[in-house]
Amino acid sequence: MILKLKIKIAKDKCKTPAECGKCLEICPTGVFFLRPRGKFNWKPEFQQTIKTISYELEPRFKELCNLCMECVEVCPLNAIIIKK
Amino acid sequence: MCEFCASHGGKTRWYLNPENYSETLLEDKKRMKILYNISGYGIDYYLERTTRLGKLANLPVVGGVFRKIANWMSPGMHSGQVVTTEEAIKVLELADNVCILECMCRRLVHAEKKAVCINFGPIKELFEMLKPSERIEVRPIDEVQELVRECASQGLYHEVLWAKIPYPVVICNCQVEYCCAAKLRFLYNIQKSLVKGHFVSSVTKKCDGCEGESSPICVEKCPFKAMTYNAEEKRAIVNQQLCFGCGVCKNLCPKDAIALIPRESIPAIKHLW
Repeated sequence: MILKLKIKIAKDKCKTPAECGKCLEICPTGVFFLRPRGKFNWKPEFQQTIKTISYELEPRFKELCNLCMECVEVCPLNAIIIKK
Repeated sequence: MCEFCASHGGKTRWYLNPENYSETLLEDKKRMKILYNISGYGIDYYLERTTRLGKLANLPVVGGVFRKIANWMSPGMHSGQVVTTEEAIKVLELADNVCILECMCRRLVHAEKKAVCINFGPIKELFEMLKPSERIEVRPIDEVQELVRECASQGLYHEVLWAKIPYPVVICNCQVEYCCAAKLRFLYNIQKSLVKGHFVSSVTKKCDGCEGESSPICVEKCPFKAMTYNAEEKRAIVNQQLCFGCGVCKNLCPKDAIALIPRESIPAIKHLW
């Protein structure tokens, strides 16, 4: 049975996950995922105009979560909340 | 023989057929579009989009429809098949313009940076044009083959990815925890995102269960959890229904006790891809 979890990330607190990345490193099952921000145009002309990509944190693979709560402990900004 | 070999393989497998590496295949506009999207700025968005759409396949009632659509679409997009180390080295002999890039899937889950993504064909030119900040390594072909062997000794499996079948573009040295294609298959049941290889492993009589160890190295390192350990008979057992034929257990076995046999020779799993 898959537990129905709610993993919430406070986006106003967590702003640069790609530089911090502590939760991504500590998670033993790989729940989190860096999602590139914003909409994207598939035309090559548009792709050349982007200089850097900013990311936001997302619990994309939350089916894998085993409730070890290590990400909640390690987060320096207290931005991750896990609810049942 | 898998369905791709039947239609594109000629007399061998599709990734060993030299016709599939020819530049005339690049005239296809759809293939060029995929190559643009998977190189340069698009790659992060591409991986993001495929995993997001995969989630729809887990919906209660309509999920089956999405799974069918995804299975139908993935041969025309960027997905792959598991290969053994020997086959990966043979593929590198056929390929030209070989370059090594940092693994994209590892970047999205913020794992340790590792330059193991072996690309060939037009990818190098496209990266130089679209993403000049990316680190591109060009090495002679025997050093690249040495890199593949080194990855195999670390316990990584290899897969060959296509950009619209039958054009192979990259050899990955992967681990299930990071690989986006494997996640699509195991979390969302999209079989065509990572097709099983042409071999399955079988344990020969040489196996003595690595005496004195609590669990043998093949059981520990199998990326697809297909190996178990029989403590009474003191030998490892393969569940061939789960085996992908990556050859990790064969590469790591200290006693040389595991053989890779063709999938077609076993009727029960002949149709499982």
